[in-house]
Amino acid sequence: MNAQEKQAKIDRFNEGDLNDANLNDAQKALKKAYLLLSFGHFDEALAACSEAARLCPGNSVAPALHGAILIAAGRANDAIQFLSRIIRRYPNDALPRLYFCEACLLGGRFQRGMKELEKIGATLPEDSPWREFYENLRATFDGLEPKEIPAPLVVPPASEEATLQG
Amino acid sequence: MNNISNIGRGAPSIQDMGTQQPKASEPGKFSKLMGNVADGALTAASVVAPLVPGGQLIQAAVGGLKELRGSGPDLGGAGDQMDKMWAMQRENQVFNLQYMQLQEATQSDNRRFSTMSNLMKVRHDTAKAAINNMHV
Repeated sequence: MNAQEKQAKIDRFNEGDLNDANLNDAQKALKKAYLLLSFGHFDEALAACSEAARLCPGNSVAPALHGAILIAAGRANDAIQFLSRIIRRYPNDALPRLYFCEACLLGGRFQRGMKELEKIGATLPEDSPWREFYENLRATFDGLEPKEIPAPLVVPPASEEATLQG
Repeated sequence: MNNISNIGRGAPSIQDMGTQQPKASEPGKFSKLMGNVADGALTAASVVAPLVPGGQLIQAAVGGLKELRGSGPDLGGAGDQMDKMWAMQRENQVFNLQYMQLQEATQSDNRRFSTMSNLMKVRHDTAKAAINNMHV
């Protein structure tokens, strides 16, 4: 092993180490986001997700959770727009696609949501960790009339009062 | 005699009660009419009774019935009672229908609540699993 190869190996190691460190920080930020979401602090949770996405740009979990928080806040249309961008960026990841489906189904774009859900079902492996979420989406929305889906409870940014959309 | 027995047949049956629409503006009209028919029948029976064999027996029976008719409660008043009963029964049916609709709406709300809350739970669980599995 010459000096050049040696240096390349050290660089790769340092890079991996850095990646691991970033992944750890990103995970920490996402755990914070999850907690904030549990307490209903949507804006702070979104900020933590953005921080995680900045630390770990190659991972789709942070932006997928960003979309999930938008759904939880009742901002289904924002979630649809955001997640459609994420799907284009990470076309092979099921999680953002599942959240996209949910956003469509809750945001009044029923046909599109069901169509996308069918596509996911065709490719999602049986042992996928997202299988339960997929099955649950199907069980909830299959056979349901679009008019039966309640309007989302919208939590406007930095507001104390929630309102019903529509 | 046939006319007397027809009084019962002309009256609405239990099944008819829910659908029949008695006129509120003329209470007891039906009963008065039936009363007149009964009177006519009894008179006719008393007239023809001596002409048929065993007529004395029939005449006695008709007399008894006339007395009963005269001393009994006014049929017109009973008709009013019937009309009121029908009206109450109709009201009762309407209330039952409304109650059923309310029950259905409540059940539908409950179903919706449980499916949506379950979905929220799974969404949270999925997010948690995604965060925990980031290193994998």
